[in-house]
Amino acid sequence: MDVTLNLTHACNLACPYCYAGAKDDRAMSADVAERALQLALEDDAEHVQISFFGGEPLLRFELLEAYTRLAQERLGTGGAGRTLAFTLTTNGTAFTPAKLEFLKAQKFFVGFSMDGGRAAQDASRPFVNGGSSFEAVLRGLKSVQAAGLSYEVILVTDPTNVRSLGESVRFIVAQGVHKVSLNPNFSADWTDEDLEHWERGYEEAAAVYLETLRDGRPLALNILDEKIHTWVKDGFKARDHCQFGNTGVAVAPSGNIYPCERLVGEDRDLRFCIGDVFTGFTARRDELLRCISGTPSDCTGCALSARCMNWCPCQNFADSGQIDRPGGLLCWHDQVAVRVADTAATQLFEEQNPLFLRRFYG
Amino acid sequence: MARRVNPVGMQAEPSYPNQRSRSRRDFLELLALGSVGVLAGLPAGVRAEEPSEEPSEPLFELMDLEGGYTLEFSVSCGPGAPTRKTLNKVRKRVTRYVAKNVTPNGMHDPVTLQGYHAALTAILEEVLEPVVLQGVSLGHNCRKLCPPAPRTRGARPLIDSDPEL
Repeated sequence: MDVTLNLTHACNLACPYCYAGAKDDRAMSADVAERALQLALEDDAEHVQISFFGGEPLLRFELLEAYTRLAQERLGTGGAGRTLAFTLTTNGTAFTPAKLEFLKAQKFFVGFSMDGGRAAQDASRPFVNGGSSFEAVLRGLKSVQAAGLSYEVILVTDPTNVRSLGESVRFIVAQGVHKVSLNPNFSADWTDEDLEHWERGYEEAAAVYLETLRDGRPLALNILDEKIHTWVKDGFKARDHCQFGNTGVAVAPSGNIYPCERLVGEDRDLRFCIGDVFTGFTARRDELLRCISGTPSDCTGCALSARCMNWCPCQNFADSGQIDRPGGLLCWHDQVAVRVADTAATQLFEEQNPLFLRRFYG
Repeated sequence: MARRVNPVGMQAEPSYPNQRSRSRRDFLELLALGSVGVLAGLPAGVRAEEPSEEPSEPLFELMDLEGGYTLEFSVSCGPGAPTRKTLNKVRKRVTRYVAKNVTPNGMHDPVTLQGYHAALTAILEEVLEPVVLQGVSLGHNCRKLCPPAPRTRGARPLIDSDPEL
């Protein structure tokens, strides 16, 4: 089982859209970490991913370091014999040479959150004192690149920054990033005008994608890639779906277990709590898993249902307030994403773009 | 603003092919067309002109290499088609390159993968000359060689089959 350790509720940024809620200094104790890592042995998976999340996990780097070593000891080839992979999701402001060296040595995959150029970054990801985080984040990105870490940049799409979405993608790609994930905030209050900007932003992002591939440089852009893949391979497959409480869980600093890190929040609303590391899973886990099986009834008959992320409980919850059905925003979004992706893919195919062909047909 | 789910009816299918409808051979032919344009120094999107002589069927070669890797390539056929001896030489050189340089992780990194293809193309061009190389594809048995690709936490889930994850 894959386990995400929500190492701390503390963060040095104050992003208005953060689903982790209000921040404080609660952090995961060694007891909780030890028990949480035992969850990874719940099934017989040969490969286990241990992820560090927060808050900002690098603010408690000593814990990250200690629990990485603990995981290797308990789960790795010296312990239970699993193959381990480590990931870190970070706001990019707290790297030091020593931290980078450790992450590199442990082959961490880094999810680096950044919303674009100065204006976009500072509009949605300021420091807690309201100051600009742009310079610190850009330094962080350069240091991750220089250290040779595997990484992707995660850009949250939100009404606060959607007007510069295309420009933001262009800025990030211009920094030498070749893997970009756009992460929509479906819980925000989107106006019709915002949606127009969003659609235009995707079209501009697709233009960057086309330019980059035509220039012979690889670029992974999740919103386009996933929709192209779902056409090429005829829809999402079961293995594409997230592990939501089944083969993957998130553990809060308190030891409470959640099906996904996106539902931990402040760890005060226990609707989605499925147990704790000391007493194990509760019946709530099975209730939630039963709830999310099958195509949402609202989507029956939709020609794009197989290419839609209506199966993601957390996106559904953010949009509709229910984990088993999408709302109209996700529906609108995925229809736009399919249109933009198919337009881009058609052009690249007609041009016989070698990178495109290798990527999707190789 | 509350919005409602709005299922869409039957739509025209996208005009780029679905893998179900393409054989491996068809794909390599696609790849060859794209690569010829690039090798000839043409801007992407411009295909190399068809040879003026009578077109001949390209030769497709699939090699199983040690360590779970495969190499597929196509070359122009006809009087200059590569001999068995030449193909053995290709295998030897490519096997040496793969053993020394290629890793499962590298196969999942778009920049590294591009480097592999460039190096293999150079090897093949050198060994096969004067035969014209049309397409090269290095594959690997991902299920056998690779642990699952890491998934970043907190973001929209990424699909598992993305080769660049």
